[in-house]
Amino acid sequence: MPQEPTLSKKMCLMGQWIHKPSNAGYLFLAPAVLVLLAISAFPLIYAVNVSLHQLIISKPYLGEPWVGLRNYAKLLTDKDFFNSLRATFMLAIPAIGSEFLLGLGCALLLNRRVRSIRVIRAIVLIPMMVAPVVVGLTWKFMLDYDTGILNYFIRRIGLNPPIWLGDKNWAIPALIITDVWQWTPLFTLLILAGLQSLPNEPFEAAKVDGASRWQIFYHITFPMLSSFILIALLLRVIDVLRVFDTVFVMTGGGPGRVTVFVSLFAYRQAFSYYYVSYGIAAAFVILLIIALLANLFIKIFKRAD
Amino acid sequence: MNKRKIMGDIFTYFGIACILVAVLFPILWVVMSAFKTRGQAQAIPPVWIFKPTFNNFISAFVKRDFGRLLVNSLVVSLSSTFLSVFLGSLAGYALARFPIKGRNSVLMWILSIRMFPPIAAIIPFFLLYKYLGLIDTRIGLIIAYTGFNLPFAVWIMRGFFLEVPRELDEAALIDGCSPWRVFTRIVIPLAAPGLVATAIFVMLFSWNEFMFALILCRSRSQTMPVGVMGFITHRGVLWGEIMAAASVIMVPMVAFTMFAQKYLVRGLTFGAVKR
Repeated sequence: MPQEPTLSKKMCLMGQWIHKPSNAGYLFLAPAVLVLLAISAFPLIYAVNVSLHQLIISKPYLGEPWVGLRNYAKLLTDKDFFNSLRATFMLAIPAIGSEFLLGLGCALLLNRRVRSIRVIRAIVLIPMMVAPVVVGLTWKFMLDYDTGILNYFIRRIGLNPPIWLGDKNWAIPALIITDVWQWTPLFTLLILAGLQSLPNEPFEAAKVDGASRWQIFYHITFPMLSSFILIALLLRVIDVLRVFDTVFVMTGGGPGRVTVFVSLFAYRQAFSYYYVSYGIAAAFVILLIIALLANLFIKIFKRAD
Repeated sequence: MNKRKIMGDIFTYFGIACILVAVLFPILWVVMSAFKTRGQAQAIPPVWIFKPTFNNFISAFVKRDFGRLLVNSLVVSLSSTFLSVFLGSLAGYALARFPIKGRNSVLMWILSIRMFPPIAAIIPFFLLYKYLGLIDTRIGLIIAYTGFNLPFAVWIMRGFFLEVPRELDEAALIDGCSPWRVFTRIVIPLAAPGLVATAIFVMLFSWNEFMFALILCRSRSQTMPVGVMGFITHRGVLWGEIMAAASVIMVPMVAFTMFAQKYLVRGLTFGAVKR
């Protein structure tokens, strides 16, 4: 029968384990891992569990009956949820598309040798640093129908300005403008980083061979930038599916339900109508979409590499 | 050829001027409006030259108690920044240097937490916090922000530690330094610029955060980004106060992050692009 080690012997062994440098890594790692486990594993398991029950906090007397996947099944037939998905893509595709094109243009301009270009590059990044709430309020202020500065300029050139956030056809374009203002710098920054990391040789070789500027851009510069562009696209797609702050302050989902994007849909289900389980189920579907898109991007990325 | 070059230069300068106007105008317009009287802020045609007044700041921060929210914002974001950078650099160092079993899985797991949409995390947090009595406390918010910034801090700090030459800490270990001493005396000082950049980014995320603060706080521990919504009242929007508050939320952070400029690409891409 093996002897149970005494306490002091155990302490001694622990001391030895700690002082072995190769094990010290686990001690350095442990606090962060414990915190992350606490804030991720528990809420995740708890959330999955709630989404399989029916919890309505405004009606505690109903208890929390087990409903299995019924919340998810309901989502698939929920017209409001599909409308919110559609609204999200109507925001995401034009916004990310214009951010990419504008960002590419800005990066090409800012890559040229101009006086005090470093300061200019720094200034261009400012919108990303501003709190989304502040960005939302800023544009709400500037897009005001009567007193907004933008409509003042539109009237000055003799056009009839829209009500922007109050008009169901113009609310999403207004949010696109806001998103483009805040996030074009991300593309600018990443594409600029890409441009500056390009080696010189292929360009010189192409010039010697007599390639035109456009040929050089299309056949050499652009392909070499593709990994930087993909990273920017990936970050933006993940982010735009989570868009919340700006919409919350600018339209609150209105007019009607035109700007109830997926995050806002989940938020409303849980905190306005108190269908907590249903809100969580919606959030998980968003998570699934993000994961699928991220996976797709990473696959493309690996192939491009 | 020369003519073409001049045309190109004109085009470049014109383009850059347009970019600068588009970027700076909204910000300047907000800050300008903060110093206007109520009538001037919404006057048509717009007022460009005016005598600045501090009334909006006084009204917002003194009369309407926004100063308390400023304190909350400072306490919450400074504490969570300290905690996540501290824990993050320990873990980042472990993952950069030590033979950890399943290191890549740990790294991917940490990254996946960051990809989690906040709306999916916030509902269980809300229910848990209600149970623990952490709703509307600064501590609750500090814990949430620390947790959600930690993955970022770990990844970025790991990248910075990987750039510290390995020979330095190996030599110190052979000389009999304990791992902890190597970390605090050798590695941290060498990675200090990275540490500062990481802290600035984490501070920025916490300072600007909205959704968690909206859902986990009521009034006592409310932070500025949520509190500024309080100026949208049912009797009308107090634009002057909003602009004053918005300037205070925006200007210091913008100035601050200019220092971390150099590391911005790396910060935004989780260290995937190192420049």
